[in-house]
Amino acid sequence: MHSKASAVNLLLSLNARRQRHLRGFVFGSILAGVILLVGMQSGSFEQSAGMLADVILQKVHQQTLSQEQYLQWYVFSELRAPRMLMAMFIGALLAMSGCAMQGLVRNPLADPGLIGISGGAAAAAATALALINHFPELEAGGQYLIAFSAFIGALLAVWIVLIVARTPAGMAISSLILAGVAVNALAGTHIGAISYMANDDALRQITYWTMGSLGGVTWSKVLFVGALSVPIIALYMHLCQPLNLFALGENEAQCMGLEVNKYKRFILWLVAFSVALATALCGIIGFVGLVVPHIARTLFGADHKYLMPACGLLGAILMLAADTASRALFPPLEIPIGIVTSAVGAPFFLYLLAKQKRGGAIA
Amino acid sequence: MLELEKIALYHGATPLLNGLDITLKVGEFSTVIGENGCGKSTLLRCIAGLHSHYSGRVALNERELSGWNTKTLATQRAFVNQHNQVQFAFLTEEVLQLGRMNQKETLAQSTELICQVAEQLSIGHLFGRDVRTLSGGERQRVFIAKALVQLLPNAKTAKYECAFEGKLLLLDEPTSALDFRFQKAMMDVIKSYCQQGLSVMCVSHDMNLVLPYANQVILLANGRCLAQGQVCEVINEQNLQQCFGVTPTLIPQANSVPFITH
Repeated sequence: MHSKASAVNLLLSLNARRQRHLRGFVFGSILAGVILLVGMQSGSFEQSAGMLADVILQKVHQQTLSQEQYLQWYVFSELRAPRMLMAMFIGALLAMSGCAMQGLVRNPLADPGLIGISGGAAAAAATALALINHFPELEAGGQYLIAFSAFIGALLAVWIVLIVARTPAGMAISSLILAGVAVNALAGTHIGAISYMANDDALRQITYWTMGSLGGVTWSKVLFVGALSVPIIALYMHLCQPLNLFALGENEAQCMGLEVNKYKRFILWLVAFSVALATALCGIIGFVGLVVPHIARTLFGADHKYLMPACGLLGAILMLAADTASRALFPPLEIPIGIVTSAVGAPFFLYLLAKQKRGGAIA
Repeated sequence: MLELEKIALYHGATPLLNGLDITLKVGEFSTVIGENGCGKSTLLRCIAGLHSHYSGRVALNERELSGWNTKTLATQRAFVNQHNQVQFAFLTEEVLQLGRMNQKETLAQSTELICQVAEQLSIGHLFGRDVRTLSGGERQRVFIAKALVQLLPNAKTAKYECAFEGKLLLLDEPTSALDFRFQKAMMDVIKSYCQQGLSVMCVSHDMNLVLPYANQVILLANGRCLAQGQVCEVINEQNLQQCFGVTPTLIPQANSVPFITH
């Protein structure tokens, strides 16, 4: 009888927690909406929500727009709306990749860049930028070449890391991390060599690319990323339970019926693919994959069933806020978004390390 | 229900297990005893499927381990490690809920079963606590509870008196972190599950604690089986001297196994 009563109590507390998390998701969505509204109005071109609403209504009723209204519509529909949507997709992808990576290696200080993804992408993008600068005939399809090279470079780096970390008994996480360090160092050397040989223009472009940017985002890019993000996010949601098991340890996960090596490979390739996609289109945007899972864990707990969607939502919110800040802080100057995320993320990372050093557990 | 035939496992040229033949029957409590490094935990890990490069045959319910679907096997065989570390702030009930992940049942059904086991192991008060903040003994009880929860049949068959028939629980030093009270309480609970058909293989150094509960004792030395059988057949000065290299003193006790001391 006593266990029946405690079962009812436990069920009530589980339901209360679920309700609390659902309220958190609703609040997060409202916050994202508010930042979207602020973001639409921020930047070197001033645009108020009221005026924008008028323009949108006129456009819906197919009324002719004045020149000023047309400019308003253009800035909203062709510049700000696609980049804000892109910010949300990229933020969600990076944060969910970080969450999966931390869950897999059982380390809250892990980041997708750990296995060489960003390094590989940057090395390949730097090569492409130098080539484009050297052969002007490549300039026509330049941005596609850079994105494609970065994507392939990221996957190639992960492939090398996975080959090195493979042992007869499966994949060793410690070897994986060490191989990632080596590949990152190699990529750094490659970028250094190219930067040394490149002319001023190429050097500037390489530096700018590694800072990450949402400038130049078009609707076609947004649709492309959006179409790929939906199945990727669905796959991340499918990984919630396996990641919960990984948190108990690989042996425990295996005894619970999880095919550990198969899932390890799958998670790593999914992380590689999503981060490669984000990096190829927007350059290196650091610390989102590291910091967002921490904030999400503090707010939603460690169960990946809630943590994973929370990371998606918070990643989108953080990137939206960073994009708005990058345009609003020093208009008409636009700060590369990677600088904004790193400026917020790096001190937070140091705080986490200091907290761990003092003996406190990291959430 | 568990058959091991000629199990051998080498680390380089060093034999960790050397031709072990072991059989475990339904509802039997078997305890594995031996000096440090003799292969006790390695044996459990082979049966738990954590070593794949052994030679020989391990069969559970007459089917080789490799022939089982991994998820079905997880509902038939559970393993409790001596040390359990959880990363991230998982709550006690979240860890226990993971034990039910291979069952098709509602949250209410799984919660009822979890609370039933939690009450038996006196861990109900730990609900809502971050597992990382629990003491070693509390965490050990939580993980033993998780293993039992993992093996519990679903709510429809849970009340059947032989609900655990054909299920195997592997325990590596399950009482190493437990206090005087919970050592005995834990063994009593596990033995009560054996009466419902659960077979248990338990590695322990605390012979005086586990031997009264054991139907079978396996004495290991250098990866070989030195002796195997009932407590009265296996536990004697000669076997223990051969196993540990020291001569023990066996103090006979009325209606129980002898008390072993130095």
